[in-house]
Amino acid sequence: MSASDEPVLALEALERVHGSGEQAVRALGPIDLTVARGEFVAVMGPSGSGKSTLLALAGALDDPTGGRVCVHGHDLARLSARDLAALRRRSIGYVFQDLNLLPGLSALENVALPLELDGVRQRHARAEALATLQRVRIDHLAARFPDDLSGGERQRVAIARAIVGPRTLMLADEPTGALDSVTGERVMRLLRGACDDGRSVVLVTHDASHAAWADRVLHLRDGLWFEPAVADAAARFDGVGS
Amino acid sequence: MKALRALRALARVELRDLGRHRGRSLLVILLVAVPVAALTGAGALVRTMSPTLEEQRAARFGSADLRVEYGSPEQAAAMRASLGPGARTTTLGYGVLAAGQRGAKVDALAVEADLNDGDLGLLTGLLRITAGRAPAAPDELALSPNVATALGVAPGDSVDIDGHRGRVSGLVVSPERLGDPIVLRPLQSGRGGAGTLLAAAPAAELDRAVRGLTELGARPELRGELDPADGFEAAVLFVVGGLGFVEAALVVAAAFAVGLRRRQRELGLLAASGAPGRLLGPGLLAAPLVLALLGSAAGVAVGLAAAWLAHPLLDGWNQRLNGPFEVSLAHLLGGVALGLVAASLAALLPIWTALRVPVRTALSGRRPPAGRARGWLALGLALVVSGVLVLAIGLRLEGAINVVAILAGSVLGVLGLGSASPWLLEALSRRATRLTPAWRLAVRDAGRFRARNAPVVTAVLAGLSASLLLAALSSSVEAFVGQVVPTLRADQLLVEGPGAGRVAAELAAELNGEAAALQAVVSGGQPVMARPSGDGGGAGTWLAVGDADLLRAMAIEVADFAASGVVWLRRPAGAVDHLPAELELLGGVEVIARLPTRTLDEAQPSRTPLALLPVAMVEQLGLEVGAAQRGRPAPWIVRARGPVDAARFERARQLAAQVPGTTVDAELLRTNPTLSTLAIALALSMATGLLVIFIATALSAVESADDARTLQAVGAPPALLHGTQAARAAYLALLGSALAIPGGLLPGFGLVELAEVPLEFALPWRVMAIVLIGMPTLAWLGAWSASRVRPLFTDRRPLVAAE
Repeated sequence: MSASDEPVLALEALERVHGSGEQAVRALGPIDLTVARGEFVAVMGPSGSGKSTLLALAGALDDPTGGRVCVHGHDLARLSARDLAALRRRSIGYVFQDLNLLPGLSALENVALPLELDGVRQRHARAEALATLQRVRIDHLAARFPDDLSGGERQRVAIARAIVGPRTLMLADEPTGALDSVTGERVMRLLRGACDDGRSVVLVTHDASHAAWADRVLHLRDGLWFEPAVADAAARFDGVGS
Repeated sequence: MKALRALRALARVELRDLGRHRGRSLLVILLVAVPVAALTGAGALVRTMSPTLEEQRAARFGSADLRVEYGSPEQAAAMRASLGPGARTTTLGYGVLAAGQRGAKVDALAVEADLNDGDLGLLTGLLRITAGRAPAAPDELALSPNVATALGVAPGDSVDIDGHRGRVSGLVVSPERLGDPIVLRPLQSGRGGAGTLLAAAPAAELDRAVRGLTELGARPELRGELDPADGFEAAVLFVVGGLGFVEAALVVAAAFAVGLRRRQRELGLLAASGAPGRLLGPGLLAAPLVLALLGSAAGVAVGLAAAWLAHPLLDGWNQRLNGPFEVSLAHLLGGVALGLVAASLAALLPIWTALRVPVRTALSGRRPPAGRARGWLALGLALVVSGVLVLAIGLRLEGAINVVAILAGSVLGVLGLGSASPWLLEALSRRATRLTPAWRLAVRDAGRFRARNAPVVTAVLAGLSASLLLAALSSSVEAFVGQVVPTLRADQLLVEGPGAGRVAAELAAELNGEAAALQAVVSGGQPVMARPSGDGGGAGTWLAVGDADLLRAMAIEVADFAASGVVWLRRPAGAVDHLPAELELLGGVEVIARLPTRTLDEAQPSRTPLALLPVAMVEQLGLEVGAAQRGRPAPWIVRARGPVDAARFERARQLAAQVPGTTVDAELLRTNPTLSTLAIALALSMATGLLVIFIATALSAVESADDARTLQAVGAPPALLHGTQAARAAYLALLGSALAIPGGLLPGFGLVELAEVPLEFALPWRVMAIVLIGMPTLAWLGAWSASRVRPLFTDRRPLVAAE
């Protein structure tokens, strides 16, 4: 398998159990997932189905209790804390609702941060960050601080930060959750554009209209995948998105 | 009633929150308890140490009603007669005597009084017998314990007193001056000179006794007219305690501010649920009041316990019999009240700020936009200018008021600098663009959370200002002492008296050094003096004679000294602009010789000679070698390898004590006695400052937990997470230290100007460097090593927490 054929993200028999003994709660898995380069995968499911856990494990933000996660062929369990940090800087971008911008840094500084942390000279990091802000069309807000931005503007800055530099995998957890429908559409267009540029995206959402932007839609229930037909039935029964 | 019920419900929410955040609650309790404990404990110790009015009277009058000074025994007899038959009297004389036993010899204060029945009589209170009894017979005496220990005697033993044999009847102390070496003995018959008459008279006869003494021209002092002490210690304690509370209140305010900001959404929810605005404030005050009460109670208990444990050490510390442990109810209530008031006041601003947040903003969880900090700059500048003005006015005032003015000016200055710190934090945060990510985040966060960080900067500034003030005083005193000509080099000892030669030789052998006699050139039994030729009628200086040993002992080198003629040296402070080419030798007032001179630019202390003549030339000139002071043996100079410290000096004293009349001298006075005090004050204020900074950093870690998670998510290595915390601590330390320099030097300048000796203000560069570099470095290292990186989602606690 050539480097370009290698999956960007591979989850194998991944599981996460919280607690132990009688108190143990299975949050996820075991599940498998492979995301190819340039692929846009949407994960849907009701609250508590394990969507955010999946994303946290995929992004090396949490440790699995079983199975393994590979990003670009690297088994995350074998990486040191320093290497994991480097992986987050160079390969994985996050757009989370509650894991957002650093309020002490301007929009430009927030976007440039991963590059600066990677040792890129400040001037070059800022130039690249500005170019990325131009791509998401908010370069005129570069000097603003997060507290001075609207929710949609903040989310676009977060997307810019997730795609800046050489990153190839973007993990988005409900990025449109707090946005109006028009702004939400804009954000989805940006994510789609990132995929078209060769990046892979895993999107967690409640909204079927946003999931429709994806190449593939997967459904989680009680931490396990289930078939779309079953999902439809479940959706009718529970009301997906509730 | 409805309002009361609503208030109770709100208070319940607050009190539950205390239990939910036990760590923060405990921190506030601790912050309140520490100054309360310090104030209560110190108050109890000061009260125990301070003499009561009755103790002050006993120290002055014993058990007498009046005391009067007399000039002669005849005058004392006349005074006694004027007092009438109902009065009891005792005469008291003071002098210095030498007591000896088994080769040991001690100089002591001789107290001689009319003693005849084995008790102290009217001296009771002025002196106290601690073992045995008071002397009754003429050959009996009582010794203070330090004299008895030095002589190696106990009650019942015999000692030599001024050449007479006496028997020790007991041990005696002066309750107010335990360190005094005392020999108490009955008034020696035929003793002349002045003394003190103590008298006790029936109340009805006291007026008549006073009149009688006044008619004799005496000025009696009455026991009942003694004014109580001025309570200076209590005032100092009040000021220091007050400053401690200000520092604690600032940090407590920061802790409350963090707690309330984290609960912003909850407060919004309460308001949205219909909690009346006028009750929310009082409801929020419930938690601080409970914490303050707990902290104060704990502080009082700990302070009293510590003071009770420490009080047995007091007698040794202040050298007086302090009596039983005393506690005043006012101190206890005052400590509790101060704790309550300080914590409540500290909570008011954060509560007021929290209640001003609009409900919608509070519910959104977003921080309300912070106002610009220019108002703080204006306030700070106004306070600093007021402080400088008050200080300047204080320098022109006379009496104790100028110290008060300097203190007030200092406090205003420190508060002014502290008040300006929010503006400074904001201004600097706007200029952090070029910094590395860790420092940029630290500086920006300090600016964003300036309501929490400004009190921390002020607390550090206040603590370090005191040290810098002391350092400024110390460096000015050091500069002054440096201008004074030393008596001897730091490695020299001067031995004088009949045993000088023997003692000097022993000392030189023990210290592996050099010894030489300081002999003079004499002519006809008179010391020859030397002065530069053409120096008019100057008396000149004595001419020492010696050889290579003397040069070594004086630490000078002269090539071919034996053939050099006279060698002329200089004093350290003296200018080297007057270098004589020739010296005149004076025998009395006549010039007996003129000699070419070699002038050496060698600074010499005041007790070693300025002019040296080689011993080989003395005979050539027809002169003799003798003592510089007729009838006295020549002193000897000993030069040790290394400085003469206290241990070496004590050894020298022991050797000299073996030969009566022999003394040793060394230049120990050049050690600045304030340096050790400064070191302790500096260490304490730096430790307090660091504690405050670490608390602030821990609070900041709590408040910035989300930022830390975001940082980790974008790939920040663990080192950056540690580094951000360390930079936060170091930045606050740097600002506090930098502001402390004007805050401490300004009052230091004022106090130097007020000093009785002509001090010149000298900048304490070393301490400034320690404060400016040491504090941030220590804060950085401490925060780095105490911070921990936690996994992102494994629990809800912050990622990085300074502990």
